[in-house]
Amino acid sequence: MSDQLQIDLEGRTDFTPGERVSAAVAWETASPPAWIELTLEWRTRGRGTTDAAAAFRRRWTADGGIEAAGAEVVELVMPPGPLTWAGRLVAIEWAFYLKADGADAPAVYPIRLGGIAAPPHD
Amino acid sequence: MVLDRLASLVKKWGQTPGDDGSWWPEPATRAAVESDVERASRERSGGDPLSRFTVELITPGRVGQVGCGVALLVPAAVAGAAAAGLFGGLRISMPPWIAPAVAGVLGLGALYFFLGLLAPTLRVLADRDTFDPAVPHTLAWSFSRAPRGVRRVRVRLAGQERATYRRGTTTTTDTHAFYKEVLFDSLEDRQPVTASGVFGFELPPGVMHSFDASSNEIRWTLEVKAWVAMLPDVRHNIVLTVWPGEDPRAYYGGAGSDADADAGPHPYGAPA
Repeated sequence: MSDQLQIDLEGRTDFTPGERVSAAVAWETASPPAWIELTLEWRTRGRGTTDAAAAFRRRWTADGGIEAAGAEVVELVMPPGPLTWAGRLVAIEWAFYLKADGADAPAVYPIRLGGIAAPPHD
Repeated sequence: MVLDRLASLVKKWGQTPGDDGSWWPEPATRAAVESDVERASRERSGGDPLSRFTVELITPGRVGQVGCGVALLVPAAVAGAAAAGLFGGLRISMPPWIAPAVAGVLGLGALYFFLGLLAPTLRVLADRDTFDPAVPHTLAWSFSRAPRGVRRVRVRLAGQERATYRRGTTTTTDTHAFYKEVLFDSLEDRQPVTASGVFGFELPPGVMHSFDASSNEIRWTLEVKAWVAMLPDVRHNIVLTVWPGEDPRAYYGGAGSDADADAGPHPYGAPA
């Protein structure tokens, strides 16, 4: 059985800074993982070297007793920035990542932060 | 009220001409100006809406830089030729006019930059440090003395993307201007260049805010340029902080995140 990691924000992808959000996460792994981590990260894309940072991080460890299958709900406040941006040279993208010890790949839930319109690409 | 205070400061800095034709403030007034500048700087840290942007000499423009380059290249070439003649046995016969020509070029370069020093100092004052889109802002500018010979003053707002990357051993920064707007142009407004002025502007709602990461940047600047007769054009770029809502530095301390979140000292969170 392959590991299954899920993030659920009720299907929403657009958020505003300062908004209080409930993120539900669920996992099902072959054996109890040593840790599970939910992060909210921004990263740049485009011509420049990638910059990235985590604005939110919640980590569950085996000390707290993680079972092979489980679910959690996390409350967080959306950070003030940087806002999502799709420029000609620089793009800023946001996503939730759910990672588990031993899992093949993280679950990724892309979002948009703020309502900045893309500039005209001439 | 802020406008009144700005106008008051500009009046002191601009110093309308006195009967004696002098544009420089009297010593007592100068002390008051310094006091205002210091007070503006202090109040900036305390959250007072009045803040000083910059009090810097506006620098000679591109013509001046080219002149400087020429002035430096000529003596370097002459010195190189002389050194080759001394150490390498290379014989270069110089025509008799070369020395006066070099001296003439150097003299002209020196004169050009000396005249550049005579260009008036331009001061820009803003009503805040952080500029919120869709909120009216006020800018004031003043020359340190009579703008005689200043034919035109233009203040332009520019938004620019800057992406830095490495290719081999070379680090390159590409730029792209995504926003440009002339905020003030004495020529377009058909106004004579006065010693000082106040004007308002508003960033359109929904524009991208300032962003400064290691290799990627969204930079907003005020590009101030003055055209001066018989002197190098003078220009100065002032980097602005554009941010919707409260000052982003409030977030730099980690405010606004979940209590359990690990938001480090990085302006936008901890490295991923």
